[in-house]
Amino acid sequence: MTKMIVSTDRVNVRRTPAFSNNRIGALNLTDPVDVTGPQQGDRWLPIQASVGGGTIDGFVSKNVLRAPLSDAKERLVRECGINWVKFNRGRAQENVFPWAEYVGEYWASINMDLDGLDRDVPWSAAFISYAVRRAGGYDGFVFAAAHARYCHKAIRARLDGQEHPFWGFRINEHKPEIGDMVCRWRSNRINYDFAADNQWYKSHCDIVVAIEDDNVFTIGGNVRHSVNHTRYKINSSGFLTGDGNVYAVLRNNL
Amino acid sequence: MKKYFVIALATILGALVFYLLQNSYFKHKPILLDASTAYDVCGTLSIITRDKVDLNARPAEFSLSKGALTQQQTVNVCIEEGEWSGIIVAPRGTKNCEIQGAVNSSGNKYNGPCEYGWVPTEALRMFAG
Repeated sequence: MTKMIVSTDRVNVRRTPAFSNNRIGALNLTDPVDVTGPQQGDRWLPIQASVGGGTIDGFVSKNVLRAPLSDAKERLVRECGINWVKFNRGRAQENVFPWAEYVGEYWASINMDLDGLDRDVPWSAAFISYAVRRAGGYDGFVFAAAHARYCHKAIRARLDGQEHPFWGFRINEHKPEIGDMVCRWRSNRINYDFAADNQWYKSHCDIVVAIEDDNVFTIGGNVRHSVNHTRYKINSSGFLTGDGNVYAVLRNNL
Repeated sequence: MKKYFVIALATILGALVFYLLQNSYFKHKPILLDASTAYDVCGTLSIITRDKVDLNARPAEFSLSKGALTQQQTVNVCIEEGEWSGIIVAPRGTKNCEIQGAVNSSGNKYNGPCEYGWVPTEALRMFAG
């Protein structure tokens, strides 16, 4: 059996290798599947996957699956996918139960005594810290309530040649890949060099979970008051275009 | 003699009030919130780093003080103007300053239940955002 990862959202699992009224389940972005046999027809792969607490066997188009990356990267994007689905794909709001409790768990991951009902406390960096901590293995990551802290560390590690789970690059130096982070400035324009020298500035980072055509899809916390996705444009060479105030890409080194 | 003294005093006071008005001492500058963002409209929590700092009504030294903030007090930083930060201060025990609600109801001008004003940016240290 070969392990593969669902690369888009709401993928139908079918009883037979064909488009017809034969849907037996659905898979979410970042779900793992086991390919159980050879391709059938022009696109259909037999798979086995966990759905709703059970296991199903069926067929999925090969076009919505990708090869797995390193275990550490897969664990990280999986955390993003799980939490995005928990937040009803960005439709659930932060201050309503049970979602407020999830935000409280994000805060607990950085030992901050907040319960998720503190509406005016920005929790996006707490979400990143939660996802990285849950993924495990990211030794040296700066778990913090401010994105600028770990972003600064990643940039410094790269410039100084230090071993670190993330290295920060300018957007024209590294093509974003699944498991990386995309960081943007907020309110006050800053650039890569500023971020290399400072660790206290307003910013926001999300984790790359999918790349399709000329778009990078990320998932982050406190985006439209939920765990939500954001789309960033990439150019024909695969680099971010710079839209959306992006100033750095943090390459996942694991 | 007393009459001249009263006239002189009134003139001086009038000039002082005129001077203060001319220099906008009493003017309040509202905290305007950026409602166009996908993120929290303020988006940064900071703490006061000085023993005591005035919460000014406008971003200037020469300003009416609306109160005093003390070291370690937590504030929402919503906007910066020069060397000043526009902040919203939640009294201890208040979980919601209704910042988002203020955006929805008043066209970006904060009018929620918490105190607001301006402090020097150098008197703040960010810890979340």
